[in-house]
Amino acid sequence: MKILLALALVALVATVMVSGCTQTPATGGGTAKTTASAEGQAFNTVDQELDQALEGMTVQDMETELLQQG
Amino acid sequence: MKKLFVMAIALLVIGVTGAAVMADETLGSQGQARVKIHTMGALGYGIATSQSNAMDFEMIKVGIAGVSVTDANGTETIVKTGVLHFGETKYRLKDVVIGNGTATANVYDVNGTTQLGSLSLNSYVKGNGEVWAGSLTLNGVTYNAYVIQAPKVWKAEEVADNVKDYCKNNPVKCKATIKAVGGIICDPEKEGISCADKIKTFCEQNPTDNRCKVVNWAYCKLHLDDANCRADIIEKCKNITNGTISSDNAICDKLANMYNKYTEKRADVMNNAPEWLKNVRERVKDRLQRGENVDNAPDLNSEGQ
Repeated sequence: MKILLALALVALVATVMVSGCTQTPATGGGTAKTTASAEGQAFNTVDQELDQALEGMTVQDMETELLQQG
Repeated sequence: MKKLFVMAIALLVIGVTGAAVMADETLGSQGQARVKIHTMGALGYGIATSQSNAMDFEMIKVGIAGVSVTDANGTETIVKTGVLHFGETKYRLKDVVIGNGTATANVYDVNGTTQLGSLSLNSYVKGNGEVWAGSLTLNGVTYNAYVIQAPKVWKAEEVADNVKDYCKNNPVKCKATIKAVGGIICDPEKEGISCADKIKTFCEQNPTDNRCKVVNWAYCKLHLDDANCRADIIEKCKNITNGTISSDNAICDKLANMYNKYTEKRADVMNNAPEWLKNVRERVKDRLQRGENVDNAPDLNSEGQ
């Protein structure tokens, strides 16, 4: 029983510590971080879209060529 | 002993619950964020040739778009951004401006800290679609740049977003457009944004439903700045033969007039325009000579998909 109680206390302390480490930054820094994050996410999305589109173009070109060859 | 047992269980429950909540909060802004293309500018591959030495050339890939980023609180931000692959090197495009068939940006290193040049492109109809042509200045060298626009396949979420946007901003026309091809999903006039949301959800699940397709088409006719919309319009315009009366004539005229406006100084670029565009341009010329406003928005309610 004491072991169970000790485990529970450890879990609680760990949660509190994790909570302290992941506090939201001050408003100004938080906004800047969010904006930078949005820009980063947008940039990655466009890069991925480009990759997918070019993959599609290559496949389409090959299909056209195969069709022309009969 | 019993009290001790209950206390231990209670502490464990608090600990586990707290950890779960913390995990959710930590993931919140990233895990629940939705990121998707909102307005497509240039997207494709091509070639850049030095203006001073034609044999100094490089393969390029360009992606320029307005991207919708929605955070965990549901706040949507449109970020205009882009990427340039010059040979094996990747660059970030910032200060992006997307217009009707135009795209400009400054070129930065991939981290976006140092400006290294600029890019300016116009889209021209060539063959089955659009080719972007313009100039690229990078590390002190100026190139002529040509990029073949990638063919578009609409994603369900893109159709749904366009439909929501259209129904939110044009509830009367949205309702009429939907009624013209099927039963109404809800009444955007009376229910407003909640109906636009319902239609969005419906179109996400049924992107090929005629009602979603016609409203997406109606959206596209108002968004000539979106390359994906222009691709759809070009496909429609190809089917219009010379002299045929079609409800899609008006939007084809508007698109042709858009191309005319920025090719006025570079008429040579349109020498080999496809047949459908030559026909539409002739009609536009006649209409302009009669003093008509070619850029008038077409009547969206009377048109099919």
